[in-house]
Amino acid sequence: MPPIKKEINPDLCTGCSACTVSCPVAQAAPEFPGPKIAGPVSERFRLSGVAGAERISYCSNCKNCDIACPRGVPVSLMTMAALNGQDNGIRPSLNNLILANGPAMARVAGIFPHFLVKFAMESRLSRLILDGLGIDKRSPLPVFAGEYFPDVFKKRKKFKSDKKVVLFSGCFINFYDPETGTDFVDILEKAGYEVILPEGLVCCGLPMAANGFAGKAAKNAAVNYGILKKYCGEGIPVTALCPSCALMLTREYGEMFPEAVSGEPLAVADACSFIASLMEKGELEAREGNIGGMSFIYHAPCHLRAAGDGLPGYELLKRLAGDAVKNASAGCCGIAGSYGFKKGKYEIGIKVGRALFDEVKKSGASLAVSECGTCRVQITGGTGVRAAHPVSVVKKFTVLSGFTR
Amino acid sequence: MNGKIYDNIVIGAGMAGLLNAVFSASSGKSVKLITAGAGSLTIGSGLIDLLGYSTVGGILKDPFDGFSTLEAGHPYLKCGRAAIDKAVRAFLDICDKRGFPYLPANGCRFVPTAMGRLKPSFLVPPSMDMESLRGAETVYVAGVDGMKDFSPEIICGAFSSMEYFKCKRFEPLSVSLPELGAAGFGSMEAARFMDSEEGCSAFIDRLKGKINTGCGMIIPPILGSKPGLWVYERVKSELNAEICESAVIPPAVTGYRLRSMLMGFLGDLGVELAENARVISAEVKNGRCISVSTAGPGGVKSHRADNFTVASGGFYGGGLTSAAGRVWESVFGLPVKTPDGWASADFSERQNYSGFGVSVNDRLNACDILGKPVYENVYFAGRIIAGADSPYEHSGNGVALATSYLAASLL
Ligand SMILES: Cc1cc2nc3c(=O)[nH]c(=O)nc-3n(C[C@H](O)[C@H](O)[C@H](O)COP(=O)(O)OP(=O)(O)OC[C@H]3O[C@@H](n4cnc5c(N)ncnc54)[C@H](O)[C@@H]3O)c2cc1C
Ligand code: SF4
Ligand code: SF4
Repeated sequence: MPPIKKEINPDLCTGCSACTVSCPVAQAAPEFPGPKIAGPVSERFRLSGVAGAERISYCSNCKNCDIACPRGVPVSLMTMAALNGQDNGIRPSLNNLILANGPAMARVAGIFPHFLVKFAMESRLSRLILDGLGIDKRSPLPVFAGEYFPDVFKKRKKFKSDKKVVLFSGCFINFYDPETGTDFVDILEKAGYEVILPEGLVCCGLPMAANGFAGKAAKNAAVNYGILKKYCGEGIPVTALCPSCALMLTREYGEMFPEAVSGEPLAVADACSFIASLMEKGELEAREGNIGGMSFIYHAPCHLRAAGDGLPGYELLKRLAGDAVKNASAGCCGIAGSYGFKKGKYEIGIKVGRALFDEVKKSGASLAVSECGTCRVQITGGTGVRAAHPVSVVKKFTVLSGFTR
Repeated sequence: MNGKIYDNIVIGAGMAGLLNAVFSASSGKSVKLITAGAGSLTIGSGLIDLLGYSTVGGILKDPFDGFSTLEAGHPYLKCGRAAIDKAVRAFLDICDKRGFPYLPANGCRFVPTAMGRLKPSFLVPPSMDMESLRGAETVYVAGVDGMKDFSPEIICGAFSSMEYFKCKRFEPLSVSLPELGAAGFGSMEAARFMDSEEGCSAFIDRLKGKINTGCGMIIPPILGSKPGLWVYERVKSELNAEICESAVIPPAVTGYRLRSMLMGFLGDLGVELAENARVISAEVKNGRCISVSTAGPGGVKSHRADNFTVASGGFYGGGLTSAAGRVWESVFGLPVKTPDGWASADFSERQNYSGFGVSVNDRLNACDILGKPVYENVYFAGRIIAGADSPYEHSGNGVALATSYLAASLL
């Protein structure tokens, strides 16, 4: 049975090609047929049992095609569904298996002392081994954190309040970047909210679906949906730090796995959008922040743009730091979750990201800011400029009193 | 509910929505642009036709000569000549300011098409103006080996027999850019290759020696994908030739350039942009619109403003929805008048459905049968307005320019 079941109607497509001219991979890799051909055009063949275009695995699932399409054709979803072996029997490879299963890897790494993990992950030898498994040795693979976010959170002094908010922290924060999670919790508690990190949540499933394991993703969807639905029902807001998780939990669950998530779609607020609403309600105050000579270059993650809610993080930063913030507006960073780590795709990812890297370097900014963890890794890898989630900057203007430098 | 109340919320990011956002933000208004898709400018020619054909037939030398034949209800008659002139000047100013100048208004300017025709347009970038070839005796029509939808032979054949071109010699020519692959690529891929130093010099080097200096050239639109004239200027000066890019079937690079320019300007003006967001409903009270709603990941969200500009396009853009025998405007559900016989079987004829849209007054508010405005703070701009058969009369972007300017100036 096909794991991705969305009713897909390729005849919504008028063939205008707006998607293809907007696809960053088609620009960087002419061998990719582009979204119009990989999506709706091939879908007509696939629906009638004939194989569609080749090399659709070049699609990075960045969703710029969906953003461009005037007709609401679920372009990237068609390609993802086809990649999940719905019709053409493409078998996922070993690198996909590894990249789809970050949490499992993190559990293994968590058994060992952190210095060993760090050494093992950064050593030439292990990068060569990973390279052999299909993870490009040049890619800027992030390193597992010494202590994972759920453990950090558990050790934190309990803050009790009647005002509650749920945080879906996501794999990147959990295993690589607990500091950002802590920054967000600091802000929420400052505003008087008790943060709930529900037990039992699992990876949102996007890396699995994007790497050919939609069946596994569907199981995760059912688990997360079951847990979060309860909170939504009680009127407790659910927030997420990672735009890709948020998009998956809300729109994509319903589109990909209607059977696993029967009922109302989840409402999951982007972290910065939630912070902005706290400020509007007067629950959180922005202090006179000291910018400390910092300047920021903002990168909008494609999955945030695809969510259809504008750029709440950028707007918030502009409000707090004014002209010290600039939007790079340079398109996709090229990493697209796990895409840019793969052998054979690494070069494409770097080529896609070049316009952004140039913009970041040209800006002379001291810090790059972006909501997506892997975007941050890619930006720092491509430019050497440090990168942070907007909440880490917002914290300086709400909990602390600015930057000191 | 998002607390901020904007001066203007614009729906749609085609030519009309982008320009309306730029015009209103330039005059100091706070603007949010909400759009479901990228708009037809992404794939269109970026040429601003004002009125190329009189509605009673025949190519116009000057668009304004045809205004007397426009039928009552045409969007240009709502705008009036003064507003149109101002809109044209405002557009040209923006182009200059952003380093992507269009040529000044001077009657219809003609642009060669890949079908071997001359298209009467109005505001045109220098790289597409046929007039630049006036002095050239020999005009090479140069294609790129393997490129889709551009045949030098077809163009040469058609132009050689045209009265307009008597005394000119047309010669087909072909450049090979194997870096792009053997076949199947379009002008967009070639233009992106020409953005690079490698691509630009390859094109120049492979043409040198094949053409004589002082000649003219017609080429597909491949002189870079970015908004600016540097590739054009460089190719022109190194080849010592006058060059004219032709209009091609979509996706055409030339509209994409203009769109990139306008998007960059929007960012600098501080316009808030929500992409992949479809406005699904509007809240109205006492003849005014209070807010519009979009469905996002955090649930349905409403956006408040003092004014709303609907630039949602026609059937292609999604501004109009149809069911058997019925057409309506998609956001407010306004009824659209549809005369009997939506289409004519002859595609060169005028088509009723091209003129379907929202009936507006001269403040661009939708109005009822008695001419009374339905919502006084909701303005319409671009293709969504009724009364222009733009594919026939060649007026699409002209209507978008004039109405988006007028709507912005009424805020
Ligand atoms: C291929 C092509 C070539 C053309 N060539 C020329 C030419 O050479 N010269 C010329 O003058 N004209 C040309 N035109 C015509 C001209 O482009 C159009 O008439 C004009 O651009 C219309 O612009 P618009 O902004 O009104 O609509 P559109 O460009 O259709 O834009 C509508 C926008 O609204 C958005 N939208 C719709 N509904 C909603 C909603 N509910 N919520 C949010 N967003 C919504 C859409 O996604 C889109 O972004 C061409 C058109 C096409 C398609
Ligand atoms: S998801 Fe991204 S890479 Fe894939 S087809 Fe769409 S635009 Fe191209
Ligand atoms: S943008 Fe949408 S309608 Fe146009 S070709 Fe792509 S899928 Fe089809």
